[in-house]
Amino acid sequence: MNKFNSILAITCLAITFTACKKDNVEPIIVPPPSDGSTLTLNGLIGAESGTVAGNSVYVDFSKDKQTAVDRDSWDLGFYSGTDFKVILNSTNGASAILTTTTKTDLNAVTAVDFDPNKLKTGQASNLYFDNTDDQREGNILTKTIIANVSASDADNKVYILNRKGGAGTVLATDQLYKIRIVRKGTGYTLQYAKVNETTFKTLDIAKNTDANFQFASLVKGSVVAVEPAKADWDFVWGWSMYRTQYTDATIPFAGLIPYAFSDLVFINSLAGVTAAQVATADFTYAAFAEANISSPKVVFSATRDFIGSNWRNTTGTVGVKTDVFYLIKDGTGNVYKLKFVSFHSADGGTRGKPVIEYKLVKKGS
Amino acid sequence: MTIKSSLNTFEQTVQVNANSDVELPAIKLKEKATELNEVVVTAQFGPQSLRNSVYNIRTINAEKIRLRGATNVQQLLNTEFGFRFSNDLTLGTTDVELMGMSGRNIKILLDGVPMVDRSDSRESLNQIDVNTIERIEIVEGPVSVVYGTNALAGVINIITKNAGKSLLNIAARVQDETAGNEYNALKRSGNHIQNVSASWQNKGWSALAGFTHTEFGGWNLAPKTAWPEVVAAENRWKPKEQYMGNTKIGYRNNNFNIWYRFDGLEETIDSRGGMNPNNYRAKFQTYTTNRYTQQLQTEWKLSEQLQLTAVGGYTDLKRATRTVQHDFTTNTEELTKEAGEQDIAKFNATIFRATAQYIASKSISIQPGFEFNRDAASGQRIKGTPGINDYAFFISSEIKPNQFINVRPGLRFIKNSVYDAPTVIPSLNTKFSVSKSLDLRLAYARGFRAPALRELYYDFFDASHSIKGNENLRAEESNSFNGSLAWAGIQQNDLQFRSTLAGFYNLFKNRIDLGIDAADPSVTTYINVSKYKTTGGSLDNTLIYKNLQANVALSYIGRYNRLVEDAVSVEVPEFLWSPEVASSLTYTFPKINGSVSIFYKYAGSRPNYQLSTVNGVQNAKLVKVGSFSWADLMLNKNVLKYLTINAGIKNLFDVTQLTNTSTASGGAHSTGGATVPYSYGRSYVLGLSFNWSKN
Repeated sequence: MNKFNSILAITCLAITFTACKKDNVEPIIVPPPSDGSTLTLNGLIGAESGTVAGNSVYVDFSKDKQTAVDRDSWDLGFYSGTDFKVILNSTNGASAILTTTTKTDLNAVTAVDFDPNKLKTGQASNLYFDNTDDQREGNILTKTIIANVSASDADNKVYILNRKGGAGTVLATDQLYKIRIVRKGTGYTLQYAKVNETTFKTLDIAKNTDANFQFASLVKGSVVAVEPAKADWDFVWGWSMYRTQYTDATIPFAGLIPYAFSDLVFINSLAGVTAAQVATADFTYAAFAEANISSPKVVFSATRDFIGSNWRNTTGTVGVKTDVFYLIKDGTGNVYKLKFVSFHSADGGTRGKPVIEYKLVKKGS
Repeated sequence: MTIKSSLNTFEQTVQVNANSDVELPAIKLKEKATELNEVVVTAQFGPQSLRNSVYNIRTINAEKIRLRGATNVQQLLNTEFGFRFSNDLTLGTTDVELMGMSGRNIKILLDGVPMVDRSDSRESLNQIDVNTIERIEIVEGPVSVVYGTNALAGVINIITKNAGKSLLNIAARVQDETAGNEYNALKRSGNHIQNVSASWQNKGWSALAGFTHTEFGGWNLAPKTAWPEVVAAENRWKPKEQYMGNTKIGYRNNNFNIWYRFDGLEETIDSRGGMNPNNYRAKFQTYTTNRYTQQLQTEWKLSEQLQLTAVGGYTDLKRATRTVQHDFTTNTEELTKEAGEQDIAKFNATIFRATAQYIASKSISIQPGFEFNRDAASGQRIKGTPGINDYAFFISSEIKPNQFINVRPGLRFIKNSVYDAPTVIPSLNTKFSVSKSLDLRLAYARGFRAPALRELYYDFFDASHSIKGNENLRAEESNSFNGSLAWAGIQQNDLQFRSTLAGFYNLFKNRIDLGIDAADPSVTTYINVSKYKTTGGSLDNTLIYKNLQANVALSYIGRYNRLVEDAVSVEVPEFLWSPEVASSLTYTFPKINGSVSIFYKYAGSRPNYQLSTVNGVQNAKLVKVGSFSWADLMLNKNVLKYLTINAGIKNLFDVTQLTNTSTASGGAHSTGGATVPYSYGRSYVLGLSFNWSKN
């Protein structure tokens, strides 16, 4: 009896342990052939983390072209349209404040004329858009922090510029700039100096109607090329100061606050580009054709941040959203369908190098 | 008459007729179903009967462990009152909660040596081989004077088996369970455990070895090529596999006892991400934990008055994360390069504890002791390779001015190489024998929790985390008041009844919580901020009548409502109360060598207040995690001389998710919507165990 039981037990266990082979067979998928274009956006300059990718990438569907620009290469954008407006480099987390004096002589402004803490923005360090261009607006020109440049020089005030920030941080005081912008004919003159310098420099910027903006770098002291000509890009991808919904129940505040992050997609709305989001429940990406553009489910928007960060998830199921795709109508009426393929290791991609797929569905005039 | 052995859990009744000679058959002692006079060791000067212990200690004995047919420690504790478990389905781990306090305030010991955890949740509890457990002793309330850090809510001391009385013993066990309605024989789907162990003892020498394999196939898993959104749906349980081995070698004589024990574990948890339908790629992660614990313990009785005990332990814990991108079009995979995705976090802990027990007189005994602990860690998410040394001297004394009073004051002095430790921790435990059957215990104790290595040196920056440790943390401290009244009212031969009424109040300060780094608001760090309180009571009743053993416990536990401090403009109660009823019922059928047991627990709904601000006005909304009833029905029967079959149903009420009326927190590790994942549903159990001994 002893022997019988022992043998029985040992047999049971032997079967058990030899049965422990893993089932590792994975199914193999043969993907259908693709007829569109695929583009990997070159967001990384070097070895920086993909979450703070160094480049802004401008994409032009009609030329199958991308233009990568170092986000840190410029500081101010001078509008080339009718109005005299200046934007901060939100892709560098820049912020600006007025001085606490009424001095308009840039040389006379010193570090005592402002509180550098007032330059903080992003990461809940400041709940208000009181030192940045208002990211809640569908058009960035609607509420710039720098007032419209007046024809009357005396109205153009001195601003303190923190050219790089966005995460509640401010550069050291000797890295902050004092700036003042006045008109010069149909263009602009920028007066600038570091706050502890006593002699300012000037830079003239002429408008260029082929572009949305002309850009200036204070570090280089020159006009720099950033955006391609306005007809030559449809959207820009990258890190930028933006906004987020903030609800802190312990303080009576709930609203959109400045918040910077990457993978933001802004359409070239200043050049007439519009975009629409399509749910795959209504149309599949593969089957979407010209005839579907007139569907009532397809609604184009001229809002700059219409795509924004809506195309991907960073919490919960991290990855591109697979239940939506987009349509982009460029300034000449071409309509492209656009699908974000991957952006993160969680969806088989690389952070900082998102992959897109797009195809012309309607030829413009 | 009843013949009892000196080991009081063995007995046999023999029929004796007056006026006639009885030829006694060979007396074979069999284990009595139950016995109240259990012996405990946790926080004692030496082995002590439960009744005489100055602490109110709960035990889960070998018999109960056998009847439960558990595959892990969680299954042993889940119907005990005051215990709750929370599941992190993202990581595939489970944390334990005792009397309203989460795992980081509970000390888990294996034969008195602390289990090491990589973070503040106690995933180590389910990395202990359930087959090696002789019994579990649970002390509620701080035992920090003896056991140091983390022992604020209490101590769970897992006592392992010794080599039995027989010369040679061989045991084996195979058990299979369904996971809900998912099952595959012996592997993959379901819950599977296999174990072999052997022990030998002769002339004071003893040796034992055991080997266990467990496999949980996961539950409610998505299809292999499911999209990410599908994989992320609620209540998916990750597969887990464990290999565990242990050995114990010892020698004992009348005055001396020494033993060495080794425990090894390899645990693998598979995490499959969904397939991105755009590029047919998916991210798979494997978390592999390797845990090796060695301990050497000795007891040396120098004289009737003086005894020395020494414990040395070394634990090596490694957790590796391996991440691959699987390409379904080519059936190939490549390692990913993101931060933290290929990582080995290493932890090791050394403990040395020496204590002396000196009986100065009949009424006074003293226990001085020294403890040294060293914890070290490294890994991508740990800044540098920090090490923490902790030195402690403790002394306690047991004063018994008469047979009715037992007073035990204690002090612990601490010096830590890194953080600001409380320099001295006092405790005072008392026991008064009010009458022969009534014992009153009153205790005050300070407790503390040292900042964990991770809280001091964490370094975790990726797409969705910016967390760093804070080297300036202080210890969390608690003041704790405990009282209990134990009545052993009826102690007749076939009827025994015991009842314990207990209450507690704990006040915690300097609790370590995540907060915004003052120096860099973009970073989250650990800070000593909050207060916390717990209070409550329990009534624990045990009835033994002939072959029936019944236990019913009620508890009512209040957890501190932190909004009391946060919300200035809203009226909310200070405590959030939740009731529990826990019960176990075992009926033995001696004639057929079988038993039937029911383990039941009702856990009442758990209230909370959620603060929201609408139009600038604060509101506190009462939200609740729903109540649930858990029941296991287990049958045991000895079928052949050496074979026992057990069968049953666990989770009879088919609990899977607990309702939750709070709005989703959006936390990365809170799965899906607002419901709380609790289990994988009703499971059917069948097991076979073999136990052979040679005398």
